[in-house]
Amino acid sequence: MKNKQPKILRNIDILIVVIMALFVVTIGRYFILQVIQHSEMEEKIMNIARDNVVRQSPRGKILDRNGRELAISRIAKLLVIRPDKVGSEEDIQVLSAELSPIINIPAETIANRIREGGAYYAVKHGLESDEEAAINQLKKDKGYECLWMDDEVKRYYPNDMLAANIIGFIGMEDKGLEGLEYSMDSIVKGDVQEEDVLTDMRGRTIFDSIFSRSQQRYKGDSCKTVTLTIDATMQFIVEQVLDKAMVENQPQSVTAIVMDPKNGEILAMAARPSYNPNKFADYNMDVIKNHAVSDIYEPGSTFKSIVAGAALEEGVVSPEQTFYDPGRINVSDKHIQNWNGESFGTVTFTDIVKNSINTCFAMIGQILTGEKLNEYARKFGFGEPTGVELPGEASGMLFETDKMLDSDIATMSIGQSIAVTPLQLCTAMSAIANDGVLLKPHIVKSITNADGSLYKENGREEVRRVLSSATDKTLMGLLEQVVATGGGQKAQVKGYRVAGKTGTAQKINKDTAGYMEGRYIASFCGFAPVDDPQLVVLVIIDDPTAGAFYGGQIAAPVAGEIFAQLLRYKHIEPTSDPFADMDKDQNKKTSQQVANTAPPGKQIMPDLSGMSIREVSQKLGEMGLGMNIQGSGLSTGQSIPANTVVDPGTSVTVYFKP
Amino acid sequence: MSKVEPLAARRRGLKLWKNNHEAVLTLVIILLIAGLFNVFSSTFVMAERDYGSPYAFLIRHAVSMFLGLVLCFVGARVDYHKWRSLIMPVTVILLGCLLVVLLFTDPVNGARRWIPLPGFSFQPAEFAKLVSIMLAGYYISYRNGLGKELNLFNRQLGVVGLLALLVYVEPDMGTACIVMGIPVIMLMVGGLRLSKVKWLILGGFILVAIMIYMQPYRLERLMVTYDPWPYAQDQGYQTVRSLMSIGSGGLFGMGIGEGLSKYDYLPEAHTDFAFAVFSQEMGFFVVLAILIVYMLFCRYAAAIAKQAQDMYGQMLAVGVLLLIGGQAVANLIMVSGMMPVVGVPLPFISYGGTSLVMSLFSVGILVNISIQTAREKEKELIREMLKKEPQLIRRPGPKLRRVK
Repeated sequence: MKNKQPKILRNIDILIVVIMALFVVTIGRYFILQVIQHSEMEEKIMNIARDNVVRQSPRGKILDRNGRELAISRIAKLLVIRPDKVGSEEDIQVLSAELSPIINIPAETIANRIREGGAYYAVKHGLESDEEAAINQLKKDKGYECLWMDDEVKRYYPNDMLAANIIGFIGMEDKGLEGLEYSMDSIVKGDVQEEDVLTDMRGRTIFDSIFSRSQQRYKGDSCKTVTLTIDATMQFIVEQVLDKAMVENQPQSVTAIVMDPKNGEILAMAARPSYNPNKFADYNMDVIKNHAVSDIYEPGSTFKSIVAGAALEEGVVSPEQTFYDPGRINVSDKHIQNWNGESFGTVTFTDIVKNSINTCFAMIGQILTGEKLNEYARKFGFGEPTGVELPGEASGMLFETDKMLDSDIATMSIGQSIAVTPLQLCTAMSAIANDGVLLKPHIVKSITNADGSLYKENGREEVRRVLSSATDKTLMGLLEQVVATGGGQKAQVKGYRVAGKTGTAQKINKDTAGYMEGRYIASFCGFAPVDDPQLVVLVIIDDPTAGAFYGGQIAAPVAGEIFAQLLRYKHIEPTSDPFADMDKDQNKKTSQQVANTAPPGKQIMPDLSGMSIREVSQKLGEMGLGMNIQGSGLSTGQSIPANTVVDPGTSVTVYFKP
Repeated sequence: MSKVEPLAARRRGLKLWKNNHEAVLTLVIILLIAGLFNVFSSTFVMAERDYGSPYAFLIRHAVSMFLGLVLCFVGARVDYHKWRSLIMPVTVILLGCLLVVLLFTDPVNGARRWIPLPGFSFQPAEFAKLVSIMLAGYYISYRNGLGKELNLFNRQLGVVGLLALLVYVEPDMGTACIVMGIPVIMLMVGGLRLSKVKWLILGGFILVAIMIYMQPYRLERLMVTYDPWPYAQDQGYQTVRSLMSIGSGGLFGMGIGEGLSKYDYLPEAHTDFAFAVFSQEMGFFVVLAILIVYMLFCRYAAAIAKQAQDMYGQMLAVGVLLLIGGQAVANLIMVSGMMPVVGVPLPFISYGGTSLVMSLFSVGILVNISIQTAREKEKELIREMLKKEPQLIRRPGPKLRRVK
């Protein structure tokens, strides 16, 4: 047959031999790759596919004493674009145009950033859930490879500025930078665990790794919750009062501390101006630091309460002992004079304290000797950090006993030429309010483990007895006189017994170590109620510029307002009828004022007495409160007393009689 | 007719199959099954991600396979000589399709290769491979029939060249090489004079030189093939990833579905580089088995070619041998990094509808050539039998017939 040409048959044989030879070579090649180089190749691909996953549990919460959240961690979604994978200019514009309405960022902003290139562009942090859903849909519809979302653990401070100086904030990688976030870092810090998993090209886990622990949200074992002694409501009240003080006095800053003298708990600690820890980068260091523990200042006359305590305890003076005030004395070439530059004549020790007579205190200091002054200052906790859980605490400055000149004794007796921190002074005043026993101040109430069990609890920690109980009672009486009839009268709260001491110190020029003319630090430190002290309040107004600068003029009223609101908030019964000496008009005015300063989300029960049913219902309706009517005519009583802080929607039973 | 074959079988001892085309079909079915597994394994991740169902690619592959098997049956049943008369209109339609692809379609990944139709799309270039084989087979048998020497420059080869050029500008270098290469090899098998082969080789070199001159990156690709590791992040990326995939399989493989490469680590893991995924999951022993299946296919295809009844059938068989076996070996060599990366699929195993349909259709033609040979042989056998034992003419029946 014609097709059986031997030449062609031979060519087919050659062809098949060539193909078979190629196959044999291929088999050899696969043998080399799969058998000889197997482990090498396997290692290579595993190096690419294996991913070291670092998992971090969210940082522990910081709560106030009632469990309100001050700092929380939440998982946020971060939208990421890989600019180098977006593609052509047209793709960039399409992508930007599609994303823009979803995330509310101008398309041109997105497009410009993509054009800059690079491998990572964090488009938007903290996506809302509807944004997340819309982006997922977009990815599904268009199959964008260059677009994805990452999980981020974000620290969030739900109350923004509230207690910011105490809480602080965190920086990158879960690291506390300021405040409690810094000092409690090792406690609240999330756990970090590392694990090797297999991933696909985009780093998502595959195979068994999908079931690995890294997929689950990691709770962590050491993720502890810190509960503070701070009461968020009290903190809020104090901060509001400070805001007002800022407006009225135009100072450089104001600082306030509220402590519970019975157990050393810090209930509120605030400063103005302050900052928002959620946006800490927008603020400078001056407003971020916690003045209450890290700043030192000359305490001025407020320190006289310590000197008075020492003098009474040592028996150098008694309340009724009389002194002659020359109006001006010279001690080793230093002039000491009274605030008004005049002489008070012959005065009792009580008057000396009441009127804060410098000359007499300088004399008492000399009688007491520098050694004793220093001893008591140290006993009251000055000269060393109090040991509170806050970072950056200063020690203050005292004299070295053996190097003290007479003039040093004189100035120290009136609270000058020494330096203390606000917290030290407040703690010392707490000791006076606490029957003469110094307690260690603390701001962390308890720490709980991730599983809810208690890790640590801070209770009352006694440091030492500074004054005997009897001396302390006498001193408290003297300090009450300061507020009742002396220089601190503006701190009075109607119906309550308040004690305390005012202070006015000249600011120290940090450059020349001299005093700055016309620059003052006005302060008031006191406690209430005197018969059973519950609150110690310190207010410091730094460099007021609105005219008045005496502690008794500007700091005492601020403290008084804090006392007034906090005593009511704590439901502390007045010792006398607060409205005894007021007519009806003032009564109304006061209640109006109180209502203005209701804590956030709360209402203050109005005084309804003497109102008609219609008036009562209108009034309660405006405030979002409910009411039950009993009887008819004019209101004679109410089930919840006036000025009580209540939740909106609370029902009050009102009794009416014709 | 089949009543005669058992005799032949008995003469040659125990066989797995009665004739060449049964062998070919059995081997193809083995490859199709391996392909089904591999298509699913290499695509379910991508399919889930892009199409929402892990079976998206598997279903398309299965549909193409069904269509291909129907065409295979048609090819096996219809006398292959009939295709010869259709060659002119088919070539014209194909040229039209290739022009449509170049002029009217949108590029996908930078290349215009597909004609989108409702429900599916197809690649005319794959079709061109088969048409070029038919054209070359027609020319060789025609010249031999005339008793004239084969020429390099003729109308049919000119058309083939035009097809290859159109495919090349898609661009699809790999397919263009196949479209042009198979007819050239067929020409050499068909008895092209050695002196003309020299010119062919020279022409080939000039072509390569021109291409390198015009597109210098091709030279880089050649260099990369020699040692891809320093280029693991750019030109050598695919090769390196492929080598890692194959090597990580070891003797026994990672297991079906357990391969790493399909998680975007290997580009084209389901098409041209399907065998890398297969090697990774199956290991060396199964790889060896598959390679042997391809070798056996070549062996039986060659047997069919050698026994073919006429020159046209013989050349067609050589063409199909090259289409399946040649592409297979080219793909395997490319995947294992011994050749620059060009787009050559692995017949029956790579995902790709048009390629699968065309491969199965060409197998059908091969089967038809073999069937005709067997029928012819049988006739011859009967004639011989009748010559030896004339009495059988009168009594055909029980003695010759074996019960199946």
